[in-house]
Amino acid sequence: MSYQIGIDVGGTFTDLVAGDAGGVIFKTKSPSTPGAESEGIMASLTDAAAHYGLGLDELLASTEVIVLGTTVVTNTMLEYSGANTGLITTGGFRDVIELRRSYREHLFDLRLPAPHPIIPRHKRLGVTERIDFRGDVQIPLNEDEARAAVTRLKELDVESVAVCFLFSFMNPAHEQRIREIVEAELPGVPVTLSSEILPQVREFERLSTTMVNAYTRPKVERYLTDLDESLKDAGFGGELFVMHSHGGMIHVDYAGAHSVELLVSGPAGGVVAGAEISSLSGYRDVITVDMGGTSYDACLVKDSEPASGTEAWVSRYRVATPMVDIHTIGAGGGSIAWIDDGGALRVGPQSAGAFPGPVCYGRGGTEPTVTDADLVLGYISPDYFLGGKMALDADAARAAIEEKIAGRLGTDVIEAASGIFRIANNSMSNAVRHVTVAQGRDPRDFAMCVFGGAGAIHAGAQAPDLGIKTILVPKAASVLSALGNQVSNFKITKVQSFIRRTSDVELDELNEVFAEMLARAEADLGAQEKVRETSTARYIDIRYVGQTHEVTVPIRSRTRRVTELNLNTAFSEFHDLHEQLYAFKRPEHASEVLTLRLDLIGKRDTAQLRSEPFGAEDPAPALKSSRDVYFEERSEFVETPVYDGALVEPGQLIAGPAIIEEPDTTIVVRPGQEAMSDHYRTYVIEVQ
Amino acid sequence: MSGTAPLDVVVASIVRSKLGSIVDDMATTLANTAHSSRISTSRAFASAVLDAEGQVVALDNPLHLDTIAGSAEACLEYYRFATASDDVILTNDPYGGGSTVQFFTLVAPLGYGDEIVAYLVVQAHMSDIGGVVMGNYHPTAIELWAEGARFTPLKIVVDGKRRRDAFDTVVLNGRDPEAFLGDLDAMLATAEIGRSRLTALIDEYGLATVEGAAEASIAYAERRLRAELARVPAGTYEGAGALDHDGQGREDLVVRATLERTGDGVVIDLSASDDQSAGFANSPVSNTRAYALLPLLALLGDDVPYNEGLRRAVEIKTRPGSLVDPAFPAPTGWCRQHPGFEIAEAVSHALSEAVPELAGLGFANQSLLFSVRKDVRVGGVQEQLGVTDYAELGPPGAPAQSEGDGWGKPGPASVGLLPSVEEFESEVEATITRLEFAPDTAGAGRWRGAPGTQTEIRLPEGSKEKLFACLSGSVHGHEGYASGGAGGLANLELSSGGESETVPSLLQDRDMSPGVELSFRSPGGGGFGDPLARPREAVRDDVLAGYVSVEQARVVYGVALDPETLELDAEATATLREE
Repeated sequence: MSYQIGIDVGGTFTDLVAGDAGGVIFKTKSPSTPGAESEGIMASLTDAAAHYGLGLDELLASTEVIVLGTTVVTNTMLEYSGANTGLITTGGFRDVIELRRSYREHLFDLRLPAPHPIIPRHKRLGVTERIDFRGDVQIPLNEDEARAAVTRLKELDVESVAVCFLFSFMNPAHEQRIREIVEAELPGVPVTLSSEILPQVREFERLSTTMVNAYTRPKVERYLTDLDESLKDAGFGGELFVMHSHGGMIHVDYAGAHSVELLVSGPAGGVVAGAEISSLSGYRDVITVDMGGTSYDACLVKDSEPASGTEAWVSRYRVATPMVDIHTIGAGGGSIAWIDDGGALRVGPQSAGAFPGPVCYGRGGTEPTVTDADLVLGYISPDYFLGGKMALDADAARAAIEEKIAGRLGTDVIEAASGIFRIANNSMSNAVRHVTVAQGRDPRDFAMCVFGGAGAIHAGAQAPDLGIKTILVPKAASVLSALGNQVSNFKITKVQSFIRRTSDVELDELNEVFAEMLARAEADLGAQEKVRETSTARYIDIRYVGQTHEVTVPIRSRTRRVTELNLNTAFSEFHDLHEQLYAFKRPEHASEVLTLRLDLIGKRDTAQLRSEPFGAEDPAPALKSSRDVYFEERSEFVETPVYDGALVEPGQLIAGPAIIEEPDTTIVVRPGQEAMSDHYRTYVIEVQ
Repeated sequence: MSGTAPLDVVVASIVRSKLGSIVDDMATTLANTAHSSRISTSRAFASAVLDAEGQVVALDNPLHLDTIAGSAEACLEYYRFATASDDVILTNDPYGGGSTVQFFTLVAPLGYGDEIVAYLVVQAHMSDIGGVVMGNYHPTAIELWAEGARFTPLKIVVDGKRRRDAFDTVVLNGRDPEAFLGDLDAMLATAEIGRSRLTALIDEYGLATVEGAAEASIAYAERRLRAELARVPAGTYEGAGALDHDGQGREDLVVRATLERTGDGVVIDLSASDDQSAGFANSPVSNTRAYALLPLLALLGDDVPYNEGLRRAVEIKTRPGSLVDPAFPAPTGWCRQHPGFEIAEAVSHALSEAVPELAGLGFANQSLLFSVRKDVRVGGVQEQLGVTDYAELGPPGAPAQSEGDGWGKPGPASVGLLPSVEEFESEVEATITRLEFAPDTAGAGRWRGAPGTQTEIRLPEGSKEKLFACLSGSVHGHEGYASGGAGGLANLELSSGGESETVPSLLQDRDMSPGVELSFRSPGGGGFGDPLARPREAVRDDVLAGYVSVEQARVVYGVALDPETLELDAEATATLREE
């Protein structure tokens, strides 16, 4: 027997999903151990071993693949706990990061401080050299200055070095020479070259990405190496992989050196699993939404492929590597409701977080939150939160909403709670609109795949507002990221600057560059023996001459090279995509190429989710109780049946109003809606 | 708030956020699709939703609040009873509610049922619209016509069809019709996006609800601002901002503001400002109102809708014939920098006198530094083929805040992005050889301002570029707050063939063909509070980083450091600080 395991290490919980050739999926959720993550991982592996009746060493010995999702990069940036890092850059340009193209997150906030300098100015050193936009050397690298800069960084005890020269994406020779010098002078200190991490025009974006990589890399490398060793010491005979921000898995050796590419490693797993599960249920176009305690993530999935984007920021630093395009807003169960100076009811952006948390947690929280409103409205049970592990204080929640909201609005407490519920829903719907309407997509063409603790409480009310007809709630909703890691494929993404008018693109040259990108991707893929088949996707970023924003256009090539026809099709599709996104096109106007992108996907044999036959339609065997629940569409409390999710079987049909309680999540089926447990135990909720 | 039904409050809040999303989507569309970098990168534009009466309901960029309201009012008045729902009206009239001839305003009515129920408005900086100097910054213009062609309201789309006659006459009045048309296409698409989003919103919620929510949003913004203005103690406060020169040889032009708390609102009186300029440093009254309001917006943060409600809470008085309310046909081309900056600075100083922690929300000293590429193509006619802006590369520094060092560009001036050096060099023949902070340019204080930048640009021999410069901040720097020091001054040097010269304040049509190096220093932000109160470790860190020299640390901050090791000399520092 051989196992495949997906693990997602979050701030609070470590989730694990295991599968074998029989497709059996085992899942476990255990507390994370921040600072000593491998302990939590080992504990959850021990749980899994016990489930299979094995010792930890036996399980690990017969485990082929472990795929890890991690938040260590994000946390390092949130805490600014990265390495002592130095930068070597083109002389005269050492303030590019601080000028930051004059991005200012809030134009009118006088208290907004400057971003924390992850590389302070005295560790940013300029060296005389210059390459021009054609890639020609204008001023050769000044070797003496370069060595002096490295010596200075040595004196400053740096643990990691970032190198970013102007136009290095056209000619990386000077950056490569700096690496040689650092390797000679500072052995063991990792060097991140901008020409390798993001060989793309625009110095601020490339530099910021390079700096974040250099800053987080030592910690991530240490973390992954330690984990790999602990696993091997415990008998692991397979290989460790890491979930990449773009939704594919990568080898642990590659991951450490490209830490910036793990920025959304955890959430990407959830999107991948959401796409996979929705596809099994027959939905290839979905919006995945993940509602947790403090945030709400939305991501568009088209044709089972998560949308990709390059616009990310982390802790006020720009990260421009391609990644799953997850749009996050600060709205979750912990979001605080308040009345502002203008008398408007507001929800968020302040959050009570997990501590003190909502008022109903009884941990000292005094400000009413979305979870408190959900409780007052009857959506969640005071006795069955987290599967009954935590009792909730409904009276305290009610009193807080009464005092802080209802009293000031002059309404009763139920209307106030309903107002909080609706305003939170609206913020979340706006996030969904952002990933659809603002990208030229119509949300009505998509189903909504919902996960995270509170997502399925709110989705039923959001869907009609968005015109969405179907909501999917995976059975494994609470460990979805780990499941995504378990079912993911290998993927390597390469980006290369390629600037010229579309009319000047030479097909042979284009194919040469793509071939070179493919060769680099293949070298990074590693673990070839696990790859069953590979496929390549190529994209080309185009804009109209004069514009500053480009559109990524897929090249529909089925062979190892791009044909004349493929290229011309891509050029003409650019105009249509532009029109879809921005409501007009100018086919007569000159256009230009900026960047080439290539994804190499290596399919592997993953444990399959198993289909189960339908039983009887009547859900009565799963009915456990009933309670009064407020539905604003009825303007009153309605006695609502409550079903035990653990007893719901495939084929059962539950008509709304109804509540289904899974151990870690509650599903609200609103009046007029119908939920069915399908062949994969995914709840498919049809919306009127 | 008692007596308002809860349904109303919640729905009003939801619709208000959706109206905000509409103008944000419009802004994204325009930035991503416009042809010229003034719109796409510098984001010199605004988009708005107006109600049936022409009141601004939602707007993405408050720098344009009053010029959007003013231009739309002029268009609606001009075509009163003659506007149909599929029309689109265009204007750029500085004396018809606008600011400068570069800024075109497009007004698109939204029909719903049989009536016009709202207007979508887009205002954007166009590449060129005739006049003497390409790009329409003409530092020595003495009348409006020299700056560019002026279009009073003109219907460019009638019944959904583009009027070719009107399009051509506008587009062909500029030197780069392709760029103009590209930007105009993007503006029209933006208005269309706004129309379809707003129609969908009305379909969903019903006209009466959306109209009610729009009015509620205006009332809400007004309540929010009045609630914050209650922090201003009763009384009258004064502030001033001085401009070096106006391009016509007149120096020290002063904008004076008094801010008076009245009831729960304020009156800002700019009447004591100097007489209007003979040159292009004149701010039409709509532009003046928008800039005068800017410092007050710091009271609100970023989460208030920018709309008519803000205008209702503040009364702004001006004197016709002054810098801030010039009489036709005075040129106005510089007003979005100057005296726009001095207006905001004067109000900011008056406000910080009343509420010190509100210091630091000014605008920015922004010199003009650009070249026009000129060439003879046909029959000896010298044509102007393109404009390159260099001043935008090196931003001015932001002033200090009352509880923190200044950083980046001043808030409201940060709407636009700095160009990427790599993209810039790929597009123009200039090479940028330096772009770094300049030492000792940050205004000193308990909290220091952000430093200015040193930008060095090389133009090759044989260049066809002609250089224009109109400096500001080379005499009057960014004044500090609460005894903080002023920011460093602007400075421009040209060198060619071993000769170097400092440009005093104005330069026009300078031939660059011998090959020239420009060295431009942008001004720094003013400091806040006494420099001697700045912790010595913070001063030492600034020296280590190179923002402050050892010399300035000693003279201005009273902090003695070993020039070699940069170690603090505690004893010498104590002595210096006691003196």
